[in-house]
Amino acid sequence: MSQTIEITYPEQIQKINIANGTNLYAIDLSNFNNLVDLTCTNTTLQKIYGFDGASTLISGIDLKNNQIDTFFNLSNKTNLRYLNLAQNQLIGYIPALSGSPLLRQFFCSRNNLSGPIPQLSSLTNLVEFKCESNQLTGPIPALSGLSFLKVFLCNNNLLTGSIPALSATTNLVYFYCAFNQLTGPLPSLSGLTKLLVFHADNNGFTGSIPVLSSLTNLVEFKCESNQLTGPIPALSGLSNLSIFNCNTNRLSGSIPALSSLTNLTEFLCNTNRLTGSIPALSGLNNLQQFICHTNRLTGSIPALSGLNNLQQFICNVNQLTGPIPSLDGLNNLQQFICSTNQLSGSMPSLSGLTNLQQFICNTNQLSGSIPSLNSLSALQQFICHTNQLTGFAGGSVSNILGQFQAQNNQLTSTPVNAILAAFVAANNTTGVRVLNLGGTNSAPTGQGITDKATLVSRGWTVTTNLI
Amino acid sequence: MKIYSNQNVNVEQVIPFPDEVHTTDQEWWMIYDADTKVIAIEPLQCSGYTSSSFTMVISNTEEELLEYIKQNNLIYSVNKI
Repeated sequence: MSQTIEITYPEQIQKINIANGTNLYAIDLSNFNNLVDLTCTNTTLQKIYGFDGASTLISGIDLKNNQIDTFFNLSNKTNLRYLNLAQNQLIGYIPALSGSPLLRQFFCSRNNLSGPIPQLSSLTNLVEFKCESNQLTGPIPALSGLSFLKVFLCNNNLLTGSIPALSATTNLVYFYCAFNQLTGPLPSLSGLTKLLVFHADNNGFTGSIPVLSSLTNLVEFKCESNQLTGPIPALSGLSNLSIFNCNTNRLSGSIPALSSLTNLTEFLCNTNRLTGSIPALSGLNNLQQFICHTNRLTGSIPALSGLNNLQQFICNVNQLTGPIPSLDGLNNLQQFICSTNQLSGSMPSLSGLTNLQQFICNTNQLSGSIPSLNSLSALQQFICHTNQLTGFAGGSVSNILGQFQAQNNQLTSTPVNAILAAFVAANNTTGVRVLNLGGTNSAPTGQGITDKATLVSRGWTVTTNLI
Repeated sequence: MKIYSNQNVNVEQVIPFPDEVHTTDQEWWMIYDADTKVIAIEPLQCSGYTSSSFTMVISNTEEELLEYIKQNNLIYSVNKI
């Protein structure tokens, strides 16, 4: 049921504040000649009438999270400092903002806006501009005169062209332009000493990663899924860096020293053309993810002991040599994947890795025995095929371990029988279950033959040799 | 039932519920769940004798299996690395 609330003396009203209204449809601002602040958030508001004739004194408009579908003309709102229209149903273009030279904060995120981002160069007081998650097209406008700009978010649009020069935006703290169709080189970031977050991922950027060494406050740098070339720049002074993600580019050269990045939590550079060895990771006690698979890395895996927060170490499809280092104490490790390298030596003890879900080291030159999988209660995949393994340390396996692939090793009948017996005892009867002990291994014998049949009767897919 | 593959055959053999089906180290094979279409074992070369309650597909080339996966809209496991 619609209701109308009339204000007897609208010219005396300076502030309107409405929140969480469920039956609100429209506000008529005609005759609110002295209105300074309009706040109406989280309602069903769809229409603003009389905005053109409303007070030119208005400085703050917060209409976040309503159902407004039409942008209003801002050309005579010369005192406007704050405009928030995020999370509405706006369609059409963003109007010119040049008539509001005092504007400090402009938010129109999460609407259905199209067309270009308007010129911003005259908004010399602009501090925050957010227009992410629309369908905006065209280039990012020049930002060079915006010396107070701290936040610029335009991610998840259809923007084209290159990022404009940022060297004069010396107060910039957050810059997001991910998930657009931007091209060209990344701009110089030198001098942006306040920059905390730079996200330019999932675009078509070319050229090299800019110099980052002066960005001592940088916390997140994400440029994954572009076409960047050249080396990863030096990161050694970036003591606050937490996330560095440049995967799926065409980067070459070696991984720079990381040992001083004590706040690093994620280092992701998979699917590039990186060469050289993995740098020392000792001391990176906050490191949770180190993912550099599908490169051309050589040398040995560095010591991982002490990395108590490490959850994922994924370096498959490289040319790594030497042994797998000790994993003792890595109680948070969930995935260790180093398949398709040239690793040698024996497999490490997995004892105590109670969070380990995937251990994948197939297609290497590992020898010795498959370690005990006792008490690895989270383990779901253990894949060690195509190595030179000869034994099994024995013991039980988890009842959620559903993929065990150890084919093409040199397992004799004794370890093959022991593995089959362990899986029968575990009695995993859910999900896809695969046990492969075929290839160059010996065939099961005696009870092992019976155990294979038992597993198949329980829904397992089992491959072995036959005597 | 025992079905032995023939290396000279270029087309796939599709074997529901394989019972100790022999493959050589030259053949490519895979296993999938015909009900859910989820691939249990991705295309591989591995000799041995395989039994399963799923469906086995054998071919002389990996490409043929990949084409089979595509044509039959089979689904890779979420754990694919």
